[in-house]
Amino acid sequence: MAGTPHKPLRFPSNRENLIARAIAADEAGVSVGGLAAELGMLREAPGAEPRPPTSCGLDALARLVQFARRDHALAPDQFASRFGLDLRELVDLESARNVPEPRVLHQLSVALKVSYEKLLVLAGHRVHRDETLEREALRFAASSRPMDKLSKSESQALHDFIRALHD
Amino acid sequence: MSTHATKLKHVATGKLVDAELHDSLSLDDLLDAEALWAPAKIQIARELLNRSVPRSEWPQSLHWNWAEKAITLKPYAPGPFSAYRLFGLRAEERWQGLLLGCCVGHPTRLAPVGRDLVYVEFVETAPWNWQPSGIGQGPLFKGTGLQLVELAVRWSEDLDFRGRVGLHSLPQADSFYRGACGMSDLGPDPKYRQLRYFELDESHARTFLEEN
Amino acid sequence: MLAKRTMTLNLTAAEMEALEGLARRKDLSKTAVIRQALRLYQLVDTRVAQGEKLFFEDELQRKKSELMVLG
Repeated sequence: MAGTPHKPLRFPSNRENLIARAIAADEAGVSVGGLAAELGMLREAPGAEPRPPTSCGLDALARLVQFARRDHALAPDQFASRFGLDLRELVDLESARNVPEPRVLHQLSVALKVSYEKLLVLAGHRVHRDETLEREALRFAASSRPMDKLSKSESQALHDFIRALHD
Repeated sequence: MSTHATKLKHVATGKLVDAELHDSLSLDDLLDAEALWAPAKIQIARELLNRSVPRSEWPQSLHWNWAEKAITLKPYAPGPFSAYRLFGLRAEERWQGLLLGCCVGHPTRLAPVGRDLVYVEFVETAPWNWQPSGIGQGPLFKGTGLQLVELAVRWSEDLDFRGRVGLHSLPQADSFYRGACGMSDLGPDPKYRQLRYFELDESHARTFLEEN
Repeated sequence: MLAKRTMTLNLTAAEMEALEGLARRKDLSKTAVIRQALRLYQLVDTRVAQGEKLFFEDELQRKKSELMVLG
């Protein structure tokens, strides 16, 4: 299996800063598992075990998306299209039917300018005790039923919760 | 095969040593590295056992045996129009680290979704560059990991993928990809035994290469 | 130095439109799209030659269908 020619990669003349960063980096672990997973070499499930999301966390996410969409005065398909979501994903989010995938949460965090890490916690993808977030999620999940236009108090509840979701 | 001069830090002396980035290796080179690394891995395993280090703290790739998997690696052989390319970093006439990238079949999950990226199938540093918990071994050289990732990012640029890279990290490497490499953590992936999936988008790739 | 060789490719208007569409959607040059297509073809060809099969899977509908690749 001789080496075969590829077009050589181009490098800048000065890589000193990058080399300095490489040397300073904490390389306690660099291994990845893609090929190992494909070849059945992962002996145990080494990844973080997600804990099941609380219904409060999913309800808070559902309410966040509903309120945010109505705050933008957008129909579901318009909101989905504007923020790079599948319509089905948006419908699932708003109904708290399934645990949303991390990719969907990432899109949402960019769209609403909130912490992706905190959305991961609400959905149960990350284990992290945050009493303030839990309290705010419970309060928000218990706020009134959605109507077509956000009332003043719903609008206030939405903005209070978004503030809690900032880093 | 082409090489590019670079440096690593020899930890014990603090001195920079000459090294080379290799951007077109073959599976033979992977097996050569494995032949060199396997005895060092066995030695580490022996120390871990002797010192009763809890299994959960062992290096998570310690038991991987690429020689045993050699037959199954044939589809991954690099070559013209191969989807795969093998990169390495060499110093003191020994492989210090290798990275296997794939440029087909792994679309971006970050916006813009569905574009091409270089997926890192495999990256390993030589066992003498590890710092396994509980046996008092420090790394011989530092600087391999980030420079291997740099090769994947540059390949991605060369393919017109704008530096986009994706990978599934082993848990012990999560902080390296999140921190030093600046990649976005998209969380556990149930299709890959809950390994966390990381992705470098175009903007962060430019930052990584210091082109911002 | 890696020598390059030139090839001329004649496409119908519809084929060119499809190629341009792919290039637009993937934000790649037409040449990059063609190189990716060749890589994908070779990848499939290599694995099928080794006895593997290529499937499309619809997880939601729980359907799996084999892509017939002729050798």
